[in-house]
Amino acid sequence: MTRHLVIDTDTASDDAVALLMAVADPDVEVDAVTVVAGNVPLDLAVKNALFTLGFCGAGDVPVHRGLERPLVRPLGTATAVHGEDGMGDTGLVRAIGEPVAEHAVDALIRLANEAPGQRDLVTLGPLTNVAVALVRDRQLLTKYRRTFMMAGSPDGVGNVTATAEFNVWADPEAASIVLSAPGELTLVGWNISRTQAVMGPAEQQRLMSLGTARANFVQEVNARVAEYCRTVTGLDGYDLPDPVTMAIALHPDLVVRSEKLPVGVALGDELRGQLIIDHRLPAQSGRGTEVVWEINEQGWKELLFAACSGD
Amino acid sequence: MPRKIILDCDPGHDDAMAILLAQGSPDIDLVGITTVAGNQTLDKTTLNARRVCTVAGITDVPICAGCSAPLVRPLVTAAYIHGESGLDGPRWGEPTVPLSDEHAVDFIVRTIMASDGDITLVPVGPLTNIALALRREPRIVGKTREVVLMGGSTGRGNHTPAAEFNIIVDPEAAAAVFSTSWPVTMVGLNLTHQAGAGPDVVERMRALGSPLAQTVVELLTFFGSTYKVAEGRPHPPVHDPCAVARVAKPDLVQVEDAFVVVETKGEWTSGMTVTDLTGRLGKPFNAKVATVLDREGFWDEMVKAVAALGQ
Repeated sequence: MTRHLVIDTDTASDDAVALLMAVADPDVEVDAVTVVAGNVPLDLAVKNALFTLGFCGAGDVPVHRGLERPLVRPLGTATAVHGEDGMGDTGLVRAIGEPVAEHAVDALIRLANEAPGQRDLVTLGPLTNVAVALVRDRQLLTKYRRTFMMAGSPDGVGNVTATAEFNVWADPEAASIVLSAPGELTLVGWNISRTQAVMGPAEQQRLMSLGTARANFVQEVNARVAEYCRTVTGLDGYDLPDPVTMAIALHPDLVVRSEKLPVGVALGDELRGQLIIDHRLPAQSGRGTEVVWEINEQGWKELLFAACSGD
Repeated sequence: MPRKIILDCDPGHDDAMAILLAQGSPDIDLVGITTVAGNQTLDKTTLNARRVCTVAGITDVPICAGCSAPLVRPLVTAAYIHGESGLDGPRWGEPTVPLSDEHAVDFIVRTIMASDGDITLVPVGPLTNIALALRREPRIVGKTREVVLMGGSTGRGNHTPAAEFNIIVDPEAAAAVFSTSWPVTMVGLNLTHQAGAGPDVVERMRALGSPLAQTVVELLTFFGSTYKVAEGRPHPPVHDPCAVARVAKPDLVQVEDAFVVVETKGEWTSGMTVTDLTGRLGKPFNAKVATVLDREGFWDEMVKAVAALGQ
């Protein structure tokens, strides 16, 4: 049976790899890509999404422009991580195609209501679009079969600050709205990316040995991330938070261990964007967000290699 | 030329008076009424807007429901002032004017973007709808003639010692409105406390003799009874129509330039509109703040409007 996905993204390097994986999956149809400001300003994120989809032969997927800045705070981008163009500054990205007229928020609401329980939502950026849609309809996420989010760092180790992951840090109020909304939520945090989604030297070698345009694309757009990993996060290679989240969305059985827990977000300045996860027994009500603690690392990486094998 | 306004409100007794002034004044062209949660929950404020329009024979103005909760914080209502229905006092029949299908945020964005830049936003409730419209379509900033809002105070608050109700309900939304580079006029408590509905006002309304005027008398009587208990004021301050009056007849409300910023983090002062009238903070003035009301002139306009609608 064909799975139907809606992907919300602030398209930069690792988002691009996640998009590639989604459109490469023969059992999946990407019904829409909604774009939000985050890693890069909105116009650039839209351009990157359009280019990536076109590059992957999925230029027919509608791309919707969304929110240009977070709900409450000014936009803080991650060009230090992904490059000024968000795609490794390799000059790869050309302007291809145009976004559709419908606003991302309208699309998120329409796609949910058209086929309640039929589509999955995968979020790869700050949660501004989804939060604004939720302000319009608090039940929105109950109309998606499941929502997979690359968001936060459940073990408290951050990438943009000492304790915060970028997507949640960028718009913590939006993340707070989404995490308190009813629905089936799965959270893949930067802890997974840091420990189980690093493309080390051997894996990069294997990727390059594929010799495909897609493999080269993945390697090239992550050039600046590799630099950030070397100088800031201390990882051996480059990590792929959005692609590992996408892999779990495509194949939820990749999850080895997860827990349903109440997850909140720190909104104060000192710990802005840090997740607040309550492990105490009285807080456990069976409701909450599925927090992923461990995945099948080999399994998801095989998915990535498979997606990069074809042209 | 009558001034075009969109009235964003949370009726509410004084909101009801604002609707009557906006439709009854020859100086105002009321192009839409949008509702928001505040004085009561959204379903109640929306029902109340339709009730007021029905009683006043306002059948040609679209009514659009908006946000049911503040951007970030849980909703706080003001049943202690407006009663459980949000409009206690009169006996209301079933409203006959319809509710639009369009969401208030969409209506605001669409109407302003399609306009010649001649629409004034008059928010007299929490600023959630306005802030979301701003995020949704930042270009409304250049297309909005001005924002004349009832909220805040140059001095003390009412819901807390520091904060006025509309601002404390959604300080993040208010902060967004004040920090945007559009012309904002703050009609705050310092001004609206000059608009007390004393016995003279009630008698003038009663003397009009129409069923609508009788409803107004009942509204003002209930409003007076709760204000007496809550704040010990002999004459209830009828806040919201003061903002409409400033647009209809600017001379009725004197203003001064000031720097206004909304406190969103204070331990005791959250929701305070910190107002610098003298430039102590060295910040460029970003708002006009209302200071002196021509009370006689204001109530003349209000009585004329109710008389005109009651015919």
